[in-house]
Amino acid sequence: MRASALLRPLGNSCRLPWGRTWAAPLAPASNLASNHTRTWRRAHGNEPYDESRAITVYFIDRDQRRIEVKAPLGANMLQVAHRNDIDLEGACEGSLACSTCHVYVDDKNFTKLKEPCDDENDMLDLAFGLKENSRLGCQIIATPELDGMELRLPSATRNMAVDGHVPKPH
Amino acid sequence: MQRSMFGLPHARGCFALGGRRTGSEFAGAATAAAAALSRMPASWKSASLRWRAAVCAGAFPNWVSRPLSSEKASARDGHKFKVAVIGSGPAGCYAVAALTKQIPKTQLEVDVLDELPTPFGLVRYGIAPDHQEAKAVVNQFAQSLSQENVRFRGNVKVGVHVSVAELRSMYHAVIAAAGAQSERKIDVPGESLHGVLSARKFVAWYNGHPHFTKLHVPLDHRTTDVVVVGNGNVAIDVARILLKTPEELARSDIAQHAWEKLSQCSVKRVHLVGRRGLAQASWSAKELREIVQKLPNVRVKVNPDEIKLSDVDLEELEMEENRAKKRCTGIVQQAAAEQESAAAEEKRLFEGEQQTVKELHLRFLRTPVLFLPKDDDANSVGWTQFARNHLAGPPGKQRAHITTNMPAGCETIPSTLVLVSVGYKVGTFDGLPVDTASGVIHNVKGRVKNQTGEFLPGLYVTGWMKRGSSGIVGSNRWDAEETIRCVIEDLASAPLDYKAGGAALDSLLDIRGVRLVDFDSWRRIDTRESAAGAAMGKPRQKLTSLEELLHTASTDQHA
Ligand SMILES: Cc1cc2nc3c(=O)[nH]c(=O)nc-3n(C[C@H](O)[C@H](O)[C@H](O)COP(=O)(O)OP(=O)(O)OC[C@H]3O[C@@H](n4cnc5c(N)ncnc54)[C@H](O)[C@@H]3O)c2cc1C
Ligand SMILES: NC(=O)c1ccc[n+]([C@@H]2O[C@H](COP(=O)([O-])OP(=O)(O)OC[C@H]3O[C@@H](n4cnc5c(N)ncnc54)[C@H](OP(=O)(O)O)[C@@H]3O)[C@@H](O)[C@H]2O)c1
Ligand code: FES
Repeated sequence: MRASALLRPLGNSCRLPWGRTWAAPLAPASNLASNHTRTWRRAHGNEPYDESRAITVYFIDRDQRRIEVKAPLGANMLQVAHRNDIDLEGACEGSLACSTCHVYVDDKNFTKLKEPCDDENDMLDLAFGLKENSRLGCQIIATPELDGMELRLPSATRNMAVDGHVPKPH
Repeated sequence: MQRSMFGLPHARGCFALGGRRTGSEFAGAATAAAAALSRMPASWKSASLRWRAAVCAGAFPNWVSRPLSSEKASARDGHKFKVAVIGSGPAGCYAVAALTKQIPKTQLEVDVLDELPTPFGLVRYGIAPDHQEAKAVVNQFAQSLSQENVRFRGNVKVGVHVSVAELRSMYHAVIAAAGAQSERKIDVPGESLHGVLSARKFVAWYNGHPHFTKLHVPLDHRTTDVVVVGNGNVAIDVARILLKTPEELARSDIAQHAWEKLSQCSVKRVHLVGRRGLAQASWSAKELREIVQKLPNVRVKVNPDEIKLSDVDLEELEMEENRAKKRCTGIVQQAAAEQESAAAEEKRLFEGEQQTVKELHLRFLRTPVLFLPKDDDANSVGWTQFARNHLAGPPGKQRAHITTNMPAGCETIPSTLVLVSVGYKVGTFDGLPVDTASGVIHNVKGRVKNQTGEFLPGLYVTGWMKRGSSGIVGSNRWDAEETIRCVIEDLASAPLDYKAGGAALDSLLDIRGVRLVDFDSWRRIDTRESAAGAAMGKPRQKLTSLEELLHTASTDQHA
């Protein structure tokens, strides 16, 4: 594994446990827009995203900082976050098996999103700090109408009891 | 008070957190530091900047600021913060990630010890072999464990090769993340019959855990009915493995010995039995949906009387925290409503090839009270007797009470294999105070306490050892971060003496003749398993004996 890959979750490309190679975003770019020469490849294929066509998305991180990033059309928000060094977890690498990529979507854009599928709802059930406007970041795909969307990362200040830990009745 | 998520990107959060337990004279400095940190520009992204700022602001005692003035010197005089993590499962890996995110590389050394030559704990030996997507997290864990200031020390059993006390003398902080290595018991007469197994052992067996390859699992042509006690996700996992076809399992990384047995046995029915009702089952929707709706060869059987919801159940399901339970209830109700038509459809589809259809019986409100031997073998289980239950208590707190007049009203279900899936627990752990009632290590937010309630300085706990067997992989991230917040708070509140760290550990293990497996050696195992798997069209073909694992770890494949 390359040293640079150690610094961030999901480095350049990683081998999934079952041997498929996942072409993840290239090295971190703090400002996508200013760096069109970098090729950003799609998660499950080799065609690069068209980085000249991107929307603006704001992440509110756990320190309440508002970070503006560019999201190429077709990319999902887990990729966008990782590309920009935002500490959004993606334990299952976007395969709808973990719920760690949970984000809160601003009300205006929340209603524009396609309804979550059963699988997403099933995983959302397990998300830490679930709210009305919760979605899984890896399932939100950048489309033109989402320009200006604001995504807030859940913070861990809640009691561990919400974290799937239900005291045993007996 | 603002509480931020990690300590130091987050230093503010770490100092502002309430409940400090030591160093009152330090509180003033901490407040000053908190104030200074709150003035730090938010654009200071790097943890190391914040760390330095905290030091400059006087938050840290001299020892920290001294090495900071010359990092080279710090490396020379050994004044690094040295941490041992016991266990390389999700909790241990997330603890490493949280530590390395917050403390600059030059000031931190972490050793991660595991009793096995293979890292990742239950991701390798718990998560089902047919759920590879849930194992993708190992890529990120591998990144944490292969950082230059982190060392993996596999094949080192704490409590045998090195004691917790020794580790505490060698490292500034010891973080126990050894999971739950035992299981809860149900105390039912007949439990010692052959064929009554904990789901924990069965899971370890089919996942190729080297300590469980020799487990006697009675699966053969006479095994038609299996009882699984418990209504959680582990119960679903073991049921699904028993229900899937050999062809389906061949595409998973199930251990070869388990695949062979499973493909030769004749399981027809799996009875998944919960002591409480449908509304209280603790499985999650994704797992339930898969076993109920997505296995083509499985017919689901539900007794409508057992899934009738009481008013209290209905009230319970409306509670905010029960969103998941409500969805699960819907999935079973739908299966119950469709079972007649599904059976007819199946009859049409599978006419003449009944062999391939297996049944999943979802049973509720039943407590096992007796395991009975087979008619022709007094040592092996053949039947399980269940008492019927009713629920009593307020919404959210309903408990099961036996209603049956015993033994006349009991229901007896045939079972040549019984898997008891009622949760994991720590058991005992040499050098750590286990709370036997709850099956976890005594702790407050991850700081370990002894039986008399005193904190044991420098000793921390995270993961299933800390909170019991609950939560998914990601839950351990929040848990580890809570523990690491405590580690950093304590680090800031007392001077750091010299500790020999990893060098001392290695020489001790050398004297004791331990064959260490480091991360590169694990990669050899990984490469060999993946290659063998690829040749067979499966994700990986696991090595299942310690000898093979250690041999592969120490053999250079290019040599
Ligand atoms: C059957 C099963 C299936 C699961 N499936 C899923 C799933 O699909 N998705 C999901 O998100 N979660 C799943 N989980 C939950 C998840 O596995 C746990 O939340 C998680 O593994 C707990 O992490 P841990 O690090 O506390 O413990 P563990 O994963 O158990 O790690 C503990 C580590 O400590 C080591 N160790 C133990 N004793 C010693 C010692 N004396 N010295 C040194 N090392 C020691 C062990 O070898 C192990 O590597 C599953 C759990 C089980 C039991
Ligand atoms: N795919 C996944 O995401 C996945 C897979 C496997 C495991 N996990 C996680 O790992 C954790 C552990 O799973 P688990 O299934 O072992 O635990 P669990 O969810 O706590 O389920 C334990 C089951 O055993 C029952 N039980 C407990 N004591 C009993 C007794 N004395 N007699 C009869 N029944 C008893 C419980 O019933 P009561 O409710 O009545 O106590 C419950 O149905 C869970 O958090 C789970 O979500 C996740
Ligand atoms: S990354 Fe796992 S569900 Fe999104």
